[in-house]
Amino acid sequence: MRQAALVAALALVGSAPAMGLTWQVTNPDPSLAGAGIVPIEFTEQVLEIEIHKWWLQTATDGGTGEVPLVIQFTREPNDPDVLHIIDEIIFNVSEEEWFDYHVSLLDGMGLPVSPSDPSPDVWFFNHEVTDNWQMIGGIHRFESKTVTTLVTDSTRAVAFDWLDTNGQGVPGGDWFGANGPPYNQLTLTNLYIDMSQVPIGEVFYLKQVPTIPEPASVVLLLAAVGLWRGVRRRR
Amino acid sequence: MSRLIVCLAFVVAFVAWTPGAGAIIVTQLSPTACLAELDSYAPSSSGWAIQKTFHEFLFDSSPVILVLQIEVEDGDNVIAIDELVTNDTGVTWTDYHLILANFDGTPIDANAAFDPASVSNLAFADVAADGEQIFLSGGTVGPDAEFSLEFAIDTDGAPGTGFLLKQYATPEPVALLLLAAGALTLRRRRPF
Repeated sequence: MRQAALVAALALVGSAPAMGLTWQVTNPDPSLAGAGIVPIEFTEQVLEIEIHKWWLQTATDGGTGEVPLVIQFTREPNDPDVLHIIDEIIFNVSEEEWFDYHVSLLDGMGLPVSPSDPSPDVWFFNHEVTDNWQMIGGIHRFESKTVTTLVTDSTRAVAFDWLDTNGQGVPGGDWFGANGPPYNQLTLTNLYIDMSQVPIGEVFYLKQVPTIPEPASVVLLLAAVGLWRGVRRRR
Repeated sequence: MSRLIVCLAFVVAFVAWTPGAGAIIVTQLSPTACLAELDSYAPSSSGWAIQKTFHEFLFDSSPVILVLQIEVEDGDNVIAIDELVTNDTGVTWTDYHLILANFDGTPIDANAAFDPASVSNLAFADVAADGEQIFLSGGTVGPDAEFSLEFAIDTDGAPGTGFLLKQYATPEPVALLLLAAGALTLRRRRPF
């Protein structure tokens, strides 16, 4: 009953203004995953927001297809050059545990920003402070972080890939109760986006997706983790 | 006789607890307790008494946002909250924010909203409030000081309703500069 009410409420989610910037979830269907934005501070220099996300399913029905969540941002007049996502609070309300998580920027055409593009319209900066947690300042969910930067400028990033290397992961759970947040919660902090080159009225996209490793990949992943631990012990 | 007194005390406590309070479950979702924490929540004569402490600001000046999940277990149309907030951050606060949000992050209107007329506090002179947020300014809360804040959330009273209550303070600019300078010094002293 409670779940049904929540799902019904989530189905109403569409687009809403976040101060100047406007946003809209363009993928997937609300029955699979959703997101919403809370504006925090809006100055001439930076727009600070929080994002809430939830996955009801990690894989598409009857298959192993991923469920990427894509938010379209439209730059409005008077928007500052910097979008600072202070934190993202993400609930895994699916039945699968997550062992990795991926974040990337897409350009106005909806295509991944290429690391070989010397002058993209949008990019992450301050990527060294971007982090993941169960609760901010507590334990990390994923220990391994890979940052994809521009070939010509390592201070500009276009994607983050987090991988679980110590068996923590993000378990699936419920909306409430012992198996509800923060048990099944992932929190990202400090995603800084430079949107100074996005023309007013144009769009860019933020894409995030947890993936379900195939059985063979799981074996390889476990082997890699074992190897990594062995190397650490020898040191 | 003493057993009777204990039983009577339980009955009195139960009667005092039930009216007007309904039942809610408050869970801290973020951050970890070393940054900010929900110290306690308990039913009171006027509704719910919540105590919380903010311990630190982040080095990069981002506010530490305390996110509480409130689940309505037993229907009640008004959740009256009497908060005691402690500033353990070591710097002076110049304002204080409260935001209500749905799980989907959108401003909340459908099943819960602040009652702007219910807001009262002694630390900040200026109060701007609507159904979605409360903004307190025109005052300060110094290091190690605490302030009390009263407000009410109107809900549809439906059991199983859940929403998020977010709160954060902003440090005064001078304190922020000192904080940043301290952080830089610490980073330079680290061997890596």
